Amino acid sequence: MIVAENVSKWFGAHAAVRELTFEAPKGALIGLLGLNGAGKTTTLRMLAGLTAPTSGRLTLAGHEAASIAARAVVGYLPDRAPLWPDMRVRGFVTHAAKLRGLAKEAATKAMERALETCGLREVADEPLATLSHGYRQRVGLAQALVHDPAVLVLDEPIQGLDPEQIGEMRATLERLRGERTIVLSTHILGEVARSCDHLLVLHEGRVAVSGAKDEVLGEERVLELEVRGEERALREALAGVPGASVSSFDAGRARVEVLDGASIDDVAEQIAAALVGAGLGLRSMARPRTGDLEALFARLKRDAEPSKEAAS
Amino acid sequence: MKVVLHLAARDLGSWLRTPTGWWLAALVLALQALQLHAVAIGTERRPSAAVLELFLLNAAVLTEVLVAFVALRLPIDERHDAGALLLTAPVSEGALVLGRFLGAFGYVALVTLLSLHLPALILVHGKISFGHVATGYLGLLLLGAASLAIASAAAAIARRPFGTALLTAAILGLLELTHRVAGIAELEARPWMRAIAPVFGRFTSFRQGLFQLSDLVFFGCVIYFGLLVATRELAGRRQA
Repeated sequence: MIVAENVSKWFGAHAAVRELTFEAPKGALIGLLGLNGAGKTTTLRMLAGLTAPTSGRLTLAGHEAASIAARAVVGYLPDRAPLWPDMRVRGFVTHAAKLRGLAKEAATKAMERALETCGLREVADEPLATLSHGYRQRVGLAQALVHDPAVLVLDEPIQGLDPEQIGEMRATLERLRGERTIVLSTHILGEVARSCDHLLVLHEGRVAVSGAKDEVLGEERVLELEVRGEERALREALAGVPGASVSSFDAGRARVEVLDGASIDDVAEQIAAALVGAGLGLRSMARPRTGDLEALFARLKRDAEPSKEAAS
Repeated sequence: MKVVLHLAARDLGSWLRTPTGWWLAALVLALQALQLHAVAIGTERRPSAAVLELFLLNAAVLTEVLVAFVALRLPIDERHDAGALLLTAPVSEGALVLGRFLGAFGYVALVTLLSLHLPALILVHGKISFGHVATGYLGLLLLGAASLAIASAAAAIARRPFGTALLTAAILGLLELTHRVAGIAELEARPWMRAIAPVFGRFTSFRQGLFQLSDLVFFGCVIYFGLLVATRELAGRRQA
């Protein structure tokens, strides 16, 4: 769906993005990450068609980025939702649909669908100027997807949202997946760890890491349990769970390795059932993940510091 | 073309939906009325045609002032309002510029035509021809359109609302100043000065009630080149 081959973007003598190469398949939700100045915004702007690459080839659904044809298959939500404050929600989303070439009736239908998807029915007739930040973000998302684009580019969509709104936005993104490819940029690592299935990490304008999230993070095939009971009872209970092996136990905290070939989610379900069946209390079960993303960033930052010192 | 009209309708609607649009229209119309009574009619006895001519001259200056304010809403910038929506829409830069221009021109034309009752007063109380009024107003509309095309180019260069308004005011002010200076300059210098201050110079025949095809073509060219500069600048920004 998105193919980037050696894409570079220069602003005068400064290269914001250098030789960016990646592929994003249909239906992927890609987390675009990087430190400040890594080239995330420039990459998003190129994907949205706001600026064309200086060199290399960037295509969206087979169309050259920034061309009119490519812009027709992309929906873009920048960090600040693009709105006309003097319009009402319904009128604005219809306006966005017409700008994307939809005829009057089709635009009205698309608007109704977008309002439904983004949970905007209750504020459909409100002026945009009076909406809260959370609703403005939703309207921004509605204008981005009103024409049913194949690629959605979202820059910090959950920035400034409260926990409830974040949950709703996350649910909306989950609903939008499937046929669409979504590129999501955010500073909230937990959000990326939770929502995305692919990662594209930029560092100083270049791709530092890219690929499926589990591969990139080198996901530990481990489950951390907190149980009420003895070690022996735990080991006996889990002996019947295929693919699970208790590697350590200390004061009710156990680490269970999930053997290769077994699905972590399936093993987790079976562990929960086995513990309940054995009469052991399961207080918590977690998969260590976000820590790995933070570690990745810490490494990038460490790597960046010597080069800055050398430059100064 | 549908997208152009859609853009124009949205922008015109925006002027009519917001208090700023109505306040600005009210202010311009009040100043038009004031200048008719205080300056054009004044205390001296003048022929009706001279009163109309003076009224049209001052109305032209007010049109320029109006355009400088309208220019505030002309920039298409991704960080301002729904600029990102416009720039990522599958629409050519030419259509974006033309749509915004037509929306702004719709508003300027509306405000201009709302002042038609003022020359009607001269018509009732004096002796002027319909043709003089019609030609004068055609000139005002062409002057407004040409000034807006210059403002569109300024918007593409300055990018920000206040920068656009200032640049527009500076360009139009310079043209007006040059034209006025040309009026009092030595006869030998006039053709040269009038050549570089053509926007107001070309309006002179309209306010005198004279319609010349060359003036119409001239204003058409200014509009075309203003919009062309704006389109090229916007397209260049995407490639920069």
